[in-house]
Amino acid sequence: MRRRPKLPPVFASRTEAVVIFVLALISLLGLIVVANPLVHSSASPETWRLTIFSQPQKTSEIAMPAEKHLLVTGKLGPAEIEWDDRGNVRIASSTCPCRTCVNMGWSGDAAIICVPNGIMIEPQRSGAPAVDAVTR
Amino acid sequence: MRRPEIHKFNLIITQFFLTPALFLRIPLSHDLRKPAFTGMLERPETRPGLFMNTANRIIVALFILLLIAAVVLHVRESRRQAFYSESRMLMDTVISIKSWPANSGEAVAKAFDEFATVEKQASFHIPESDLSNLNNTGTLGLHVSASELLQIGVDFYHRTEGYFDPSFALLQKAYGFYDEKGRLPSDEEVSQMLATGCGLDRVLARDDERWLLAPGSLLDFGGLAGGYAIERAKMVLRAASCSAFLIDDAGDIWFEGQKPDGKPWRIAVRDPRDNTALAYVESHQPLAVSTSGDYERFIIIDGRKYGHIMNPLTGRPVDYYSSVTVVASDSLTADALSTAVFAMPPEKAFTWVDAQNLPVLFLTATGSIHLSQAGRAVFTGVKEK
Repeated sequence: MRRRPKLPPVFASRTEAVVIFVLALISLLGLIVVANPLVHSSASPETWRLTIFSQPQKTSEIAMPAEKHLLVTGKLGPAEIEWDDRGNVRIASSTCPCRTCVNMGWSGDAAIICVPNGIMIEPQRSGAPAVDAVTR
Repeated sequence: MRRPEIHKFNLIITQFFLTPALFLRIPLSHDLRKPAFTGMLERPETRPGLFMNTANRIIVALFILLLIAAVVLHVRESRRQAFYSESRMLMDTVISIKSWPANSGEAVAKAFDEFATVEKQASFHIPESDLSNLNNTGTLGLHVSASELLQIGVDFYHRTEGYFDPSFALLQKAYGFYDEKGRLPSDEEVSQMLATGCGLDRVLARDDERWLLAPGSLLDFGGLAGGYAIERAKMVLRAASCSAFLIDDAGDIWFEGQKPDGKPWRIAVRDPRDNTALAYVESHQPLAVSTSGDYERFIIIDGRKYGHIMNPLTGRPVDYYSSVTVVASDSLTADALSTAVFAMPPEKAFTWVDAQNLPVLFLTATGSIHLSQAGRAVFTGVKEK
């Protein structure tokens, strides 16, 4: 009976095996991150862009505050911005005369705008957003 | 001048090549035919180097290349996806423009200038605007730039059988839409205004030199000026070779170009009842989407809500629909026709939009949803009720 020739070991040492394994893992993870769009998108916004259309215009990125309420000062006076647990946002109160912004209620994807008070708050999502714009 | 992020990127790539090469003791620049590990062979007492096996060297090299490719692809994709976005308050609302590539800020600024120009022409509230001049003096020279907008308004008045009528400003003023002090005009007042101050073909005329507005009449081009400004702004962005852009004038939307992710543009139609999506418009092709509704511009008189769009026959605010969304191939048409169709009673509107082959989504005041024949191919994900 013929004996099989003994093959040389694939890895010369344990270090070599570990290095190849780690390199393979990092490479594959890198490709997954690049190729998979799900990695880039998220369901709920992480931050909101708050714009006060005063002179000069002020824009800032804000995170949801712990109390889920934020008092800002617009062109006419104070306005209260409020978040719910799902990351929807609304203007809870405003010093504008018509209160249209308050009557708009909660908004998920779209910006909430108070024209008289010059306040806009819009969700900022990383990656591809669910919609490009909202017609209303 | 080299940008700092490019320099940083080069450094990262260099490190990717050099670090494994040094670690594996792979010759980098000298003659590759010369044995790379002769030093080690001559000194057998030292610890043997890694990857003496050629196959393993190839595997390691492939993984390193794979990793570099992933990094390069990621950086390129991030740059490709990057866009420029800006919002400004103009024309009594907030205008937002989103544009690719990321360095299109100058073009976007010029596009905003177009909105500012149209505001100077057609603002009802700015006393120095061309339209205010016409409303105050009753005349406006044909050479004035707002003349083009007036002519477009006249054309849409005729096309919509009078349902798009900028002369309803007189009625809107009587209801208190401009000073936000709502009041209900009497039947006599409304009849008087309809007879003498409304109807664009009766109150606006032109001769060889100027436009003439009947005394006591008022024009408001709010139902058209936004679409007109979008048309001008999109020409600027096109001329600046922006690869893709979206202009959002308070919900009147224009989009065109191929987004870097290759996906179609996706516009949600807001359901005013619960702020979710009533439907979507998805397209790779350029389109204008415009919605008229009774939930953003209204006044409350004695606890009852009145919208700002008037019935040309009764002179009273219409209450047939909660919202009407029109999709068209240009923003002027979408803007003007969404206003006009909102003023039409359903028995008129449903047949009229089909005759025009116009994609329209109606949310009636009773909560039922109606799609025009052309709308069935354009609106997706439509709520059942």
